[in-house]
Amino acid sequence: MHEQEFKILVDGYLKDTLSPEQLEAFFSLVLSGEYDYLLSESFVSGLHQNRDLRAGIPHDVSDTIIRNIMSSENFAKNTIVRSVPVKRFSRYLVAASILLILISSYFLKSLIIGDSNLLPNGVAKSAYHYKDNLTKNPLKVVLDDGSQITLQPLAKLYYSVKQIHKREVFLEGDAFFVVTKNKEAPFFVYSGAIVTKVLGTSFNITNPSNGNTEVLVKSGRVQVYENKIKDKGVLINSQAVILQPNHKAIFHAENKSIELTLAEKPELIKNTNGYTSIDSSAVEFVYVRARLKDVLKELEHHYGIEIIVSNDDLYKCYFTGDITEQDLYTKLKMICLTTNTNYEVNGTKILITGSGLHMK
Amino acid sequence: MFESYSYDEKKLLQLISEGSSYAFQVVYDYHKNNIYIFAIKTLKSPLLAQEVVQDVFLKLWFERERLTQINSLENWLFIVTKNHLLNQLKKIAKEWKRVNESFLENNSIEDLELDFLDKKAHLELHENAIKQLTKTQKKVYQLIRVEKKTFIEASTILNISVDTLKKHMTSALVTVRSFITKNGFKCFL
Repeated sequence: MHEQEFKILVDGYLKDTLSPEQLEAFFSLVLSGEYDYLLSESFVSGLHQNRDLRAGIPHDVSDTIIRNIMSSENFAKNTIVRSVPVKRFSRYLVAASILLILISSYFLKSLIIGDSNLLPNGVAKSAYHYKDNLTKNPLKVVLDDGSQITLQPLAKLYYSVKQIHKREVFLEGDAFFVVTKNKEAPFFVYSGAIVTKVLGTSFNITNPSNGNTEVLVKSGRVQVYENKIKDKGVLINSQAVILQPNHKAIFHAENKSIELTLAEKPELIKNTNGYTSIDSSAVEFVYVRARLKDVLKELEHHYGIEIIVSNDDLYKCYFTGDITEQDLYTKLKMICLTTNTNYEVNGTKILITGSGLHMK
Repeated sequence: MFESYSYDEKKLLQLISEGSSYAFQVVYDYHKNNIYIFAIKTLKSPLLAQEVVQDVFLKLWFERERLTQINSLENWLFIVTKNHLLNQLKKIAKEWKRVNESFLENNSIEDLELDFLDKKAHLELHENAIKQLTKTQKKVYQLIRVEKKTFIEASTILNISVDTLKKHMTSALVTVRSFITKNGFKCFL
């Protein structure tokens, strides 16, 4: 078939002048995929030529489309936490709730929950499912995409009904997340004043009563940034930090800064194909006159934490002992005691300092 | 009439990328009819054309943050539209073939199964899908799908040619299928 003949068929199809046989031929050629480039060409040129704007999309349909587009986005970008109007509104809410308490305590409860600053204003509540944990035990919530969220007592969670383009949840309180991997649809957790962006991993979010928010990663990588708005709800992401397992980000509400540090109890991790996760297999740490260099290297490897020494000579120290049972920081204490060194946590690194005891 | 507005594409792009729904609406109003009319020409169905318009602009809105990198908004829109049209046209071609074969072999057209839905939900969904069809499409669909008439019987009843009937049946099927896949998923959620 000649290109020119196909072009005639396309033209005829668009003008509705094809005979049944021609139509059959045209559809067969379309399905063959051979002439996609010609179709593309004629579509684009058709779009350019088509400037007759008298007829068009009906108004009501046009409006529906715009509404669909705007609502499908859930106005995620406006998700900001303490803006002034919200605060003012919650003050009214307290006044209102005193009146309402006489009427219906249940209604009151849902009112407070519904309008708490957990969900940003301007967001359609119907686009989200709500779940809270009023029990004394952790409560597991499984989302449509298979992600699991374990809510600690008193935690509250909104999660988007449709989790197709963008997965979003709003959290108040503490929870542990195991997020199903999906590169197409990143998973966002809005919690307090920070946003945690995930591609598929597990991590803990805690909101201690001091107003800070903490994110602790168990596997994979997550990105944490402050949730800020400029005027008109445009989001600026400032200060993004990337967390790896055993890393912890603390958002300080006071000076609005994100501190990057290590978990209080780092756990053993393993690395499979670039994806790091908690290693539950038993690893032994038994050393007999081992060079500190090798000991630290092994700790580094198994905890995924960088350990640096202030002075390369320290590597030459020897260490003997069984530190399998102890947690990382106790291990380090024991090492430091026997080698006359000190350790300190510096951001997400551990620094070993001191003169060291040089054995022969 | 649009020429009287100052339609500054670069500026609008910038505003959209910053999240201005107003600028988005301006661009939408400027291009929607053009895309819609051409989509109807290509797909021969108002409903499918509406879907194309929605999908194209939904993509524009979702990807707005990256828009400052593109040179021409018009080109961007047309390329996205073109890709949608190509995909839809292939679906129509497939459906047309299926209709044609079932006509030749005198088989009934197999149903689109949605395993996760129970019978009642499925029927309801199906009814709603039929509501989306045009009058003629509805009649054709009713005769062939529900009353299990042959194409020749149906064409005699409606007093149209078999070829016209096939065209109507094709677009009816594409519409029903596309409605069911989209909304069946919603139901499931």
